[in-house]
Amino acid sequence: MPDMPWITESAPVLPRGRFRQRRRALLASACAGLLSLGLAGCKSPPKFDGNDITGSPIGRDMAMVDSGGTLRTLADYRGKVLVVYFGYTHCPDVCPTAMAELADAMHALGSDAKKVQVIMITVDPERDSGPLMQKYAQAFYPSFIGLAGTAEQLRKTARSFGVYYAKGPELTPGNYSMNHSSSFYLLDQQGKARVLLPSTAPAKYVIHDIRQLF
Amino acid sequence: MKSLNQALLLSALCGAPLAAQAAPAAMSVSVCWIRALPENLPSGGYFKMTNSSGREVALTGVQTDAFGMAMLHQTREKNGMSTMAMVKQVPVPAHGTVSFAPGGYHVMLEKPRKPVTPGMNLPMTFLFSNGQKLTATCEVKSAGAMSGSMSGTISHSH
Repeated sequence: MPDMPWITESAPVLPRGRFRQRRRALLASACAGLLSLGLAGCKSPPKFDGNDITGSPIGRDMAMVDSGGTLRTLADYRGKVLVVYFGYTHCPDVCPTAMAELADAMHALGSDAKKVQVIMITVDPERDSGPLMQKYAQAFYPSFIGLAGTAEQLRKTARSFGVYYAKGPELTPGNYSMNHSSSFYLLDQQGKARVLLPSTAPAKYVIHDIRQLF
Repeated sequence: MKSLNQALLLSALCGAPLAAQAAPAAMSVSVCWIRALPENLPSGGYFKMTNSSGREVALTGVQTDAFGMAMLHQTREKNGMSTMAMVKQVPVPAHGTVSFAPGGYHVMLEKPRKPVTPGMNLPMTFLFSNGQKLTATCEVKSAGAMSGSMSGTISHSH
């Protein structure tokens, strides 16, 4: 898979999601199939800018703890569009950038922001507690939630999302970094996986795809 | 004799910085900002460097009294995976600019001496391969502040 074209720092011209063309082709063939069966009209499902992961079990087994120590699963967030991001607090650049972008998206959504729940899950259970994750997430936007858990809880949850994480080198004495998948997972109000976007995707694509799930 | 030596030494010491000041400064730094994070967590510093000289000049380091540690880092994204790497120096092409911006180059700032809160202005000193050393004031912005890329720091080389 080549690098995402939109991450290059100096490229102000951003391509339309390249996943989209593939999806369009699939849609077209699906509609053609239905038409050939004589079914009138083909109500097109949402067109996402990100990668459509509808039908996948991604995230289904999420189970992490909140700042009060309560185990949280997808069932707790029914009725909200979920945006899930995996990161860690000792992350000076990419995680705060991703979270700031999501905060930006919430501001852009205005009154619709209350239909969205952003959840950040730590990939660094050694250093990130539930209360620290909550404090961190809330620093970006008041309604954001941070979840933590044991190494085992993280292992299961990350596997459910297909998230990779591993300790990286110590960049300064005693401060290791984490290598991790940096993506936004969008789940609909029923907790079903719908869209996967790189966290470097421009906010307008994230906002667009969130809106498709209202 | 001793006093003559001292005078020579003094003039040598003073002469060097004077000579450096006489030449037009090749490098300048603008729109420097630091992201405020809770709990004294490591944070990122961002800015734009402009090289007005006809030769490539590299940023070799950053110093600040406001933090216990300041290092040049780069976020690298590949296949949806994010990793962080140390960088020794960042070249700025002749008559070009390079921005440290969220998701790319950043100064990793650790161990703030005092809690860093939005609205503070902190000095940061930049060291360059041509011997130039300059200090810029960096504004502390809230955690949710978006990148400089939103406020026109995307730059072009000529």
